[in-house]
Amino acid sequence: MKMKPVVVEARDLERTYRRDSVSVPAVRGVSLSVREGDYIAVLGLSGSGKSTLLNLLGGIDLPTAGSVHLLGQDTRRLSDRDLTRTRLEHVGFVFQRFHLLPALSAQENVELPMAELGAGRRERTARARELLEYVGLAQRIEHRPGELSGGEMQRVAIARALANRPALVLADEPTGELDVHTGGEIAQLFRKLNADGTTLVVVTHDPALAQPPAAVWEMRDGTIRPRSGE
Amino acid sequence: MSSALSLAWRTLVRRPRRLALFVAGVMVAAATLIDMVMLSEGLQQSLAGILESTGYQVRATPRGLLPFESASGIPHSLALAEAFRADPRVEEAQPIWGVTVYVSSGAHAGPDRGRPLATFGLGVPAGAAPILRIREGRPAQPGEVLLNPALAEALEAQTGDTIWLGLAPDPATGGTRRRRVMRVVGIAQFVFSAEGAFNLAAPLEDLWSMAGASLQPAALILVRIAGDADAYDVARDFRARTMNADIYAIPELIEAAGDRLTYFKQLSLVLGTVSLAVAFLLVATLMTLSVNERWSEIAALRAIGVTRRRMLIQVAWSGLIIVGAGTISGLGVGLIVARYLDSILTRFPGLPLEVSFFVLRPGDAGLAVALLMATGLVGGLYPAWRAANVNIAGALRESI
Ligand SMILES: Nc1ncnc2c1ncn2[C@@H]1O[C@H](COP(=O)(O)OP(=O)(O)OP(=O)(O)O)[C@@H](O)[C@H]1O
Ligand SMILES: [Mg+2]
Repeated sequence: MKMKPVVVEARDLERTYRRDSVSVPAVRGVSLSVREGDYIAVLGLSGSGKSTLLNLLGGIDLPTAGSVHLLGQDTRRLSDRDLTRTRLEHVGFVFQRFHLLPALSAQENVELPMAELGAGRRERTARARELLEYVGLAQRIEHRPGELSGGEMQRVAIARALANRPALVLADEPTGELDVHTGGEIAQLFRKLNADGTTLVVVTHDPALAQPPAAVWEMRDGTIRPRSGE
Repeated sequence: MSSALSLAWRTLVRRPRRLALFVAGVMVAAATLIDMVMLSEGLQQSLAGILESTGYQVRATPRGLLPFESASGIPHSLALAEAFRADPRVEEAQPIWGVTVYVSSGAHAGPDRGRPLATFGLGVPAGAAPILRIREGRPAQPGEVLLNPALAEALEAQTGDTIWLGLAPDPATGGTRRRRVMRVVGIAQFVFSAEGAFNLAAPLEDLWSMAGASLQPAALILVRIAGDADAYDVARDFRARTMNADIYAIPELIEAAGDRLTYFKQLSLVLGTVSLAVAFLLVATLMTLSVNERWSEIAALRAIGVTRRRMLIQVAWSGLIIVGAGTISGLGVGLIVARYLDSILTRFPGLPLEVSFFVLRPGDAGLAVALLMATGLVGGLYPAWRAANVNIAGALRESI
């Protein structure tokens, strides 16, 4: 079987935080490839380096050693402007705390990345509506984040992450703020995303997000390996 | 919503009360700045306006005195005026004198009844009306007077009435000594007249003879320069050969007045600077608050793909919006306050009616607005720079 193209690749990745004389190696010698259509769930104890790894893969943090190639480009060799542009065009982020703009409606939040990319108003509006329908929020497009529940806000955030048809969606504990039932619905939405072709890396403690078809990787003390038995 | 401006606006109006308070703060600072700008040169400008509006370019006054300071004035003023006229560069020279006279109205009081009113009588050449603004009627010929509106009202006198003029009240008769009957031929405002003051204008000769002023004194002689002749040259030449008068071109007087008014400028400069500093602190405070409060939101926006430059512009816009709103309302408030203060200050006794302490010149208003805008930009710059350079991963982590 022919291998799918690589979306992001880490090689001998190191990320060490230094504060005064203390240095904390958060990620130590991680090498991995995420291919188109993959759904990877990263599990691990708190402090094992999951968020750090995700930030490195998405180009919002840079490695202290080793490299991340995001769509073939070494994140350390890109200017901040180009790296920002790469994130805008090719990476979707879903945060634990949603981080929607409270001043904007659901639809405008979803339009924001498209507007940054310079898409026309008509196109933006149409795609935002389509995406909100896709995540099951067709009825709430005019609502502001303050008028939505946690699960609804996370749906808006997922729609926003999908806005520019990213090659990769990265989610850091996307169900961390939600109850089990709502978390289950979001997990189901992620499976639908993946089934429709979205490449996903999800950091989580939530077993619902680590169900098949997710490939589960486990982090321990800054290193990563596939969960035993897989 | 695509533009950074509208996003900045919508973020600000999410906290309408806070925004209103800060805008009100900037408004007060802007109003103060505008008033200071108006005050700094206002009096000088307004004096210049009055002096220039008379249409004369050179002025002679009694040596060492202000005009009307003493009744003795420049002696033999007709001769000096004649000397001016003889110069080909001079078009016209008008001696003017002033003396306190007592008036009672014919209709109202009769020659020996009622209380005569003390007024300032202005002697002008017969048939001329320098430094007068005639509202009604015509210049006075011998035996005629012009009344200012306040006096006409007090006497209940109209054009065509006769009034009694005297040099001093006479307690014996209740009338006036050395009185004369004169005819009112119009209503005129004396340009240097103070609020509520009683003034009349009559031919010089009439006032001289009534006062027994045999030396033909003048409080000032106004000289109009012909065509393209130079007022400074004329003033200098006459100054050199006239013993008992100070002779200056009007612009020289305005400059000299400006020198005496520098302390208005210094006061305005200090208070204007303080108000700019206040505006700066207000903008910097609100921007810092807002950026801190939005710290994780800003990090998320940067993660999603908003460039540093766009982030900087968006936050900088917020500062400009606050200052813009404050400036617009501050202009209005500043003008109202200036008018109010002017009405208080110009009530100071003896000030000419037409003088103003606050004068707004368009260039100065533009400068004040530009300074305020620059302040808004600078005040928002550091918070905007911080927002643009947020450590994305760090800020997202702190938010949890
Ligand atoms: N900015 C930082 N400065 C210093 N140390 C940091 C910083 N960010 C992370 N660390 C350290 O790096 C290690 C890994 O952190 P990370 O957030 O990646 O763990 P995590 O697996 O995501 O944990 P959790 O499940 O609690 O989110 C931790 O020991 C943490 O204290
Ligand atoms: Mg984490």
